[in-house]
Amino acid sequence: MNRTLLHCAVLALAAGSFPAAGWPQPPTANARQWLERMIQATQTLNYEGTFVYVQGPHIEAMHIVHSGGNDHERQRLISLSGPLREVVVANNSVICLSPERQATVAGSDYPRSPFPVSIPSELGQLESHYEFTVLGEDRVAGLDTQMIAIRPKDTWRFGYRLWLDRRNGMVLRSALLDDKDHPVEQLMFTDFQLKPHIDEAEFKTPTAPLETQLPPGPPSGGNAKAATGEPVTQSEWRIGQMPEGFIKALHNRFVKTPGHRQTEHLVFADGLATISVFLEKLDGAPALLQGASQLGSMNAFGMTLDGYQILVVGEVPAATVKRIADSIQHTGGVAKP
Amino acid sequence: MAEKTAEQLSAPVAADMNIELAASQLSAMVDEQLDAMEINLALRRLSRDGGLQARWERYHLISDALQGHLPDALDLSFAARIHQAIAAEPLPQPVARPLPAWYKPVTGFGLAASVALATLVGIRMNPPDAPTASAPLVSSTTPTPPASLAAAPVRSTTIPLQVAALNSSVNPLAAEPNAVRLNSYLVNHNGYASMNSVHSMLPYVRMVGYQTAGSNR
Repeated sequence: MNRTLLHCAVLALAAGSFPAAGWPQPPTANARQWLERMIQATQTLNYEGTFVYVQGPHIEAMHIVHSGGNDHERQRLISLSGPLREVVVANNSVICLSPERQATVAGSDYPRSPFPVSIPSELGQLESHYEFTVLGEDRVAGLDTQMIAIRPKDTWRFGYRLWLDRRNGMVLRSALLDDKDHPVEQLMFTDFQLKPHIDEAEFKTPTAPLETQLPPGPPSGGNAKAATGEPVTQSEWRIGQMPEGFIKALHNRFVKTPGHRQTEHLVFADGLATISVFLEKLDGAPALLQGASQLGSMNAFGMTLDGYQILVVGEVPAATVKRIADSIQHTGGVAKP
Repeated sequence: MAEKTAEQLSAPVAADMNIELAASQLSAMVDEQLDAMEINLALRRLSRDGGLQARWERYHLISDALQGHLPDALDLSFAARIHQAIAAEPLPQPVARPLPAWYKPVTGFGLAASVALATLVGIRMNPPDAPTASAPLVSSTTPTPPASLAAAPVRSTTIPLQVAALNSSVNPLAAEPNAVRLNSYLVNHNGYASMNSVHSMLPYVRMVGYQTAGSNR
C-alpha cells in the first residue's frame, strides 16, 4: 500500500503543474482534463521527435522540433521520406519549403493572425458536439500513454482517438476516424524526447541541401497583406447551413495575384475540425472544381454560382462540405456577413 | 572587390551604402549565411534591381568556379534568354487527353512535389511586377548546365497532366491554373486550421503530407 502511495507521489511530482493527472483517475471524469493537458503540452513543451504519418495508402516519416512558450512557439517539421519538404513556424509566420530535387522555395510567409475566439480553450463548447471518453493505456514510442476517444455526436464531423503521454499529455499518436471508426489518417511517434531547451538556430535556416538547389523564389514579404487579406465586414454571400458548433473564426478577402480577382475566405471551426469556404470570382476563367473531391484527409466540394467558384474544404465528412456548399446563396446586394 | 571600390568612387554616399549592403547580403546568401528574414529582404531587393540580379549571377559563378562546379560550356546570356522566353510564353498549352481522377484513393494520395512548388510560388510569391516573377529563379541558375535549367519550364508545363482532372468536365485549358489555385486554397486552409484546432500540429503535418506523391507515384 505504501509502495503504491509512493509511486503515485513520484508520478505527481513528475507531472509538475498537473499533479492530479499523475494519480490513477476515474475514467469518465477526466477525459476533458486529459485534453486540457494535451493542449497545454502541445503548445508549451520543448521536444524533438520522429513520427510516421499514414493517410489512406500513403505512408511517410517526419521529424519535428518544437520549442514552446507563450507567444513564442516555434516548430520545424521535416519530411524524412520522399522529396524534402519543410514547414517552419516561427516569428508569427509559417514558411513552407518545398524543394523538388533541385529547387527550393523559401520565404513563403504564411501570416499567422491571432485567433479571435479561443475555441481550443473552451472545451466545454467542444463537448456539446463531441463525446470524450478515457480508454485504456497503451505504449507509444516506448512511453506509457493514455488513450482518449473523441466521438462526434452527429454525422457532420470525424472522430479522433488520441494516445497521450501519461507524464504530460503530449499527443504521441492520433487517428482520425470516419463514421465506421476506420482510420482516415494516422500519426504515431516512434521516438520522442523532451528537451530542457531548444536552440534558436533550429528554427532559423532551411536544412535543405543548398548545393543542389535553385535559390529561393521571389520574395513574398511585400505581399504579406495580400496573403493575409483584409477582414470582410460586408459580403454578398450567405451561408445557409453550417453544422451546429462551427463558429466563424475568420472572414477575409484576399487577392492572390495583384491586380487579379479577389477571393473571399471564411474559416469555421468547432475546436477540432476546421472548414474553409472560398468564394472566387471566375471572370470567365474555367471552374476550379465541380463536385466532390477527396484531398488527403480533407474533403472538398466545389460548384459555380453566378460566375463565382465556390469551394468548401475541411477535415470533415464529404456530406458536410457538400451540404455547406449547397446552402450558399449569393445575395447580389451587399449584406452583413 | 575591385568592383566594389569602383562603385564607391562613382556613386553618392547613400546609394553606395545601399549597394554595398545589398552586395554583402547577396554574398552572404550565396554562402548560405542569411537567416530567413534577411533572405526575404534580400530577395525583395533582388527582384527589383537588375544590377543586383547580374551581381547575383556573378557571385554564383564565382562560387561555382571556386568549388569546381562549372560546366564545360558556359552560356552567359542563357538566363536572359530564358527570362525573355518566359515573358513571351503564352498561357499553358491545352492538354489533349482526358486525365485520371486526382486525389482519389484509387490513384493514391497526393500531389506531385513539383505541383506544390508551383503552388507556393503562385500564392505567396507574386511580386508586384509580374513579368519578373520568374527572373530570380531562372537567372540564378546560369552556372549550372543547360540541361537542368531547361527542366524548370518543362516541369511547369507537365504539371497539368498530373493534376488537372479533379473533374473530367474541367476545361483542360485551365489545368495548370487550377492546380495552383486549388493548392493555394489548401495551404491557406491548413494554415488557419492549425490555429483553430486542439490538435494544432496536425494541419502542418497535412501540409507537408500532401505534397508528396511526386516521387512515390
